[in-house]
Order: sequence, then C-alpha cells, then structure tokens
Amino acid sequence: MKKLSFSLLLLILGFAACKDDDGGDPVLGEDLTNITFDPKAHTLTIPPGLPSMDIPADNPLTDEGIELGRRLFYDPILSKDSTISCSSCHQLKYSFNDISAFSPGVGGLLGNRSSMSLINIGFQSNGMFWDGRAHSIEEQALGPVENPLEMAELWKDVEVKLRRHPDYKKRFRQAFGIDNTMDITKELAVKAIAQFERTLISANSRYDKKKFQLDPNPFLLSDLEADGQKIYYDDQQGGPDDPKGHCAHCHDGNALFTSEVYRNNAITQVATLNDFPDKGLGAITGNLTDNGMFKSPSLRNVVLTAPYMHDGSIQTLEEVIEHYNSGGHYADNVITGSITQLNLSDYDKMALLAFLDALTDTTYYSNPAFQNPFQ
Amino acid sequence: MKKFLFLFLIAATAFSCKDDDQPSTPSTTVNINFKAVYDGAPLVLYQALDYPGGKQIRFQHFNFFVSNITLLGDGATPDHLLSEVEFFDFEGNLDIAAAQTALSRKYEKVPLGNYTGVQIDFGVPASLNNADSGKLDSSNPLRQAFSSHFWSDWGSFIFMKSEGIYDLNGDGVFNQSDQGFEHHPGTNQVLTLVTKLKPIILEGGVDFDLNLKADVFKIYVSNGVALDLSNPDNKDTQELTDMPLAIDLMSHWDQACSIED
Repeated sequence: MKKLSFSLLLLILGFAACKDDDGGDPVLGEDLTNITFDPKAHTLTIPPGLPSMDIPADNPLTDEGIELGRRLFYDPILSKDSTISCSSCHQLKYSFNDISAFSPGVGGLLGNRSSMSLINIGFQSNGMFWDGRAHSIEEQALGPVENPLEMAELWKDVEVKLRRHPDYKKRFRQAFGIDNTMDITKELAVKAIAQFERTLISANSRYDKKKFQLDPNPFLLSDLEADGQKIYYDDQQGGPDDPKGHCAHCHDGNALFTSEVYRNNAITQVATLNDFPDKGLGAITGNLTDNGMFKSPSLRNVVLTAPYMHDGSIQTLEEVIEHYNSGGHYADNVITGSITQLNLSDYDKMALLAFLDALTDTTYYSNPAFQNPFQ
Repeated sequence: MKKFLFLFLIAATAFSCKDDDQPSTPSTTVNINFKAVYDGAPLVLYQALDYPGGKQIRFQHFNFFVSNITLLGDGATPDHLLSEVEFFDFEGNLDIAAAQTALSRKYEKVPLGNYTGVQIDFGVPASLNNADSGKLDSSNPLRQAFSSHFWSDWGSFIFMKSEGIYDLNGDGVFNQSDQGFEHHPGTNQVLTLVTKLKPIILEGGVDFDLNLKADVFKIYVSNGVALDLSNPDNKDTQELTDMPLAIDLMSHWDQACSIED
C-alpha cells in the first residue's frame, strides 16, 4: 500500500511538474498575478527634422513592452520550424534590411518582394509594405508569421509556444499586465513588436549634422556631396542649366527621405497597365492606374540596403542612378515630369552617389538597444 | 455637518445651472464640398482632355491646401473661421462617378446669421509653413501630408500638386516623347487669398452646403491665354528660379475657384 501511495504521489508530482514546464493547463492557463506589473513609460526623443510619431492610445511605449518586442523580433519562435525571425529579413547590420533580392523563408522558399528597411518606420503614416496593404505597424507585424513564404506558422500555434515559454509569460505580464498565460495573444505579440520598431529611429548622418546644426564642423559635407544634394533637390541656384535629379519628389519628407508616395518608377517594361507581373498597389486598390506602383522607401542608410527596388532587380546604387538617368520604361501611370531622361553627367552621378552616402547613420546600426538580445 | 451638506448642495446646484443658463449661440452645420473640374466638367484623372491650341492634356494628380477658410459676416454677423487648414486630394477621381462626388469637410456649431461670402487662402499660411508643422497631431492635414508635401530644400510645403502629361507631338497618344509636367508651387510668396462673394444665410435647423469648384483649366488658361506646355521651362516649378511661373499659376486660383449655384 505504501509503495502504491508513494508511486501515486510521484506520478502526481511528476504530472504537476510537467504542467508547469508546459506553461500550465492548456485550457485554464497559468495564473501570473504573482509577477509584479509596474511598466515604465518610455519617452522617445525625436531628433530635429523628423515629424511627430503617432503612437496608438492602446499601445503606449513602455520599457517592458519594447524589450519584449525586441526579443520577439529576434526570436525564431515565431516561425514554424524555429529558423526564421523578423531579423532574418531585417538585419541590423544592413539597416534592418537584408542583401537578398527575395529573402528566404521557412524551408528556403523565397518571397516575392525584397524586404524593406525598418528605418524610422514609426513615423510612416501612409501604409506599410511595398503595396501599402497594412495601415499600422501592428497590422504589418501580423502578416509574416502566417505567410507560407516567410514564417509559415499559425498564430494560434505561436500563442501556445509563447504561453508555455517560461520567460515570455513573465515578460507579457510585465509589459501588458495580463493575469493569465491564456491572455497571451497575437495581438499583444504584435503590439510589443510594434513598440520595439517605433524605437528604430535614425537621424544622425553627416547630412543631419549639417542640416540641423548638430555639429559645428563646417566640413561635414564635401563639395561633391553638396553638389549631389543640389541635384537631389533640383536646386538650380547656380543657373537654369544646373542638373536636376528629381529624387526628392519621392524621397523627401524632410528628414524622413521618403515622401511615402506610391509611384511606378519605370523599372518594369509593360505593354499596358494590365501587364505588370506584380501589380503592387493596384492589387490592393483594384485601380488599373495603381498597377505597378510601389511605395517609395526611405533612402536613409541606402548604401547598406542593396539590392534595390521592390523586386531587388537592381544590384548597385550606381545602376539605380543610371536607371533614373535613362528615364526608364514608360507606362501610362509614370509621372513623366520627373521620371524622364535626366542627362546627368558622370560628375553629376558621382555627386549624387556621394550625397546618398552622406545619409548613412553609423550610430544606427551600432546601437546596442537595437541588437539581438540572445547574442 | 448638515449645514455643510446643505451648502454643498446649493453650490452644486448653482454650478450645474450655470451651463444651462448660459445663452448658447444658435448655430448650425456647414459642409464645404469641393469638386475638381476641367473647363466646367468633372475632372477625371488619366482622361485625355482638350487643351487650347488643339492638343490634349491628361492629369494624373491634383491636390491642394487651403487655409483660413472664413465666412465673411455682414457687419451684424461677425466673420467666422471655419478651418485653419485643409487638404483636398482628388486622387480618387478615376471615373466620372467619383469625379462627380465632392470631397467634403464638416464644420459644426457655426453661428447663424447672414454672411456675404467666403474667404480662402490657397496654400499654407506662413505661421504654419515650416517643418514644425510635421510635429502637429496626426489628425492635422499638415501632418498627414507632411511626407508627401513638405519640400525640405525650400523649408516650405508644396501648396498644390498638379501633375500630368501634355501631348507634345499632337499624335493623340501619350508616351515618353510627350511633355510631362509637375507643377508644385510652394513657399510663402505664392500664398493666394481668394474672396468669393455670395450671400450665405445660415438658419437654424438646416445644414448649409457650401459647394465649391476648383477648375484646373482656369489655373492653366487665364484671359484666353494658355500656359505653353510645349516649353520645357514650363514643365515644373520645383526650383526657386521657377517662382514667376509658380506665382502665376497660384494667382489664377481667384478665377479657378468658384461657388456653385
């Protein structure tokens, strides 16, 4: 009898112990109210030149939320086979981009568009993704998990994994004050990721230092870079024959270096607007004239984000400049006022390239707050 | 204690009555409904339109800022500011049905009375025409259009974007051998005050619709003279040396804007 009782006790203890490891009862969850919930509000410092950031009232920034978001961002737990994280396609060393035309997802399957840089994403207000289909970072972050070409996982399975994870259940409690592991949801996961992404602010390039007088050094931009700046902004103070690059029509927004517009940038040759292999914005709006239009990305740290364009079809910045210099391929929705032959000289092209290089913010990709917490 | 309670009740009653007793100004709702037209007909983007001289033109984008929209009082009724700044973007004018539908803004609690007309600045007032407007709340039109319309090299908003293509060779087909244009006037110099006089009588119980038209044809054609779009110097207004053209185009808002009957 004693032996039986002892065995039963061991069985019960063993079961209970397993229960804890597994994150509690799969239906009832695990009570978390013994973990202190005392989040610290996080105030962003917005550098000069950048606009206000619209932070949703139901997702205020906290230190705990940002840290949780950073961990989720770098954790392959979001993918089906634990091989792909957000950071697989958005690598800090490439300014939260990668160097593939199409990023590999689970099983090595390739996506169908180049990944976008996350630089200053919190300031963007005119749609996320190349085709603008998401309206907030939270909505954007929902997408890749269930995309079969990216993380190929189901959110309901991610939720189970997070509920069972000893560290995450604590961090969700600390960030959002949930009482039970069952309250860990995809909505809270993307809120945390969005909080982290809103901190990915960059405005400390040599151009910024000069433009916003952050550094008194008068030689921050070389003459070549300054000439490139004039071409970029169509500045003809030297006379009407000065070259125009028309770059800022799509890449301004003051310090954002994106105008957040959707344009056909004439890289795809088509007979009619129906013929774009990737319809971009048109696939979202259903408007024929939106076919082949994609969002203009920020050119901050652009030297780090090759290859270029939504399809990664252009390998170098020199080729990008050459593309625009040529006028590209006409289609009925190209704005030919600016996408037209530019007749830039070799010097002009070199100057433009030099100016783009001056938009590099080295403090961004070396910022410890943005780095992988698991390394 | 009872005395205190009594005094509290009296005070509470007095304060609660205060709001009710204050005479509220009789008011109504005014809707501003803006339509974009070309030579009087609804402006449909990407549609070929006749341009003076026998050639055709096609618009791809048309939008503008207006500011200090003010109903002009008749003396007995004071002026009333409806809005500090608004942005009208006709990007949805892709077919005739959409182009016939006005873009509307609603202003509540507009005092009743007799107004003689409306005054509008086309553009962004100097006090708001700077990068600090990017820091405004996300509901403000200047913040909403900051990325697309703030031209940092000027330190100014672009007040109007009119973009399209002119059939330079007159072959009836638009392509890269034609003249694209991108008119983006901005800076404080081109802010244009427009006054439209027409009795506006606001009476209680009914909303008032102020129907405005923006005739883009009249921005390009003034006193029978059309802007020469075959001249490459007239294809854009992005540089400060293009200022005479920018001023000229913006000055035409006086004729291009009208109140519909």
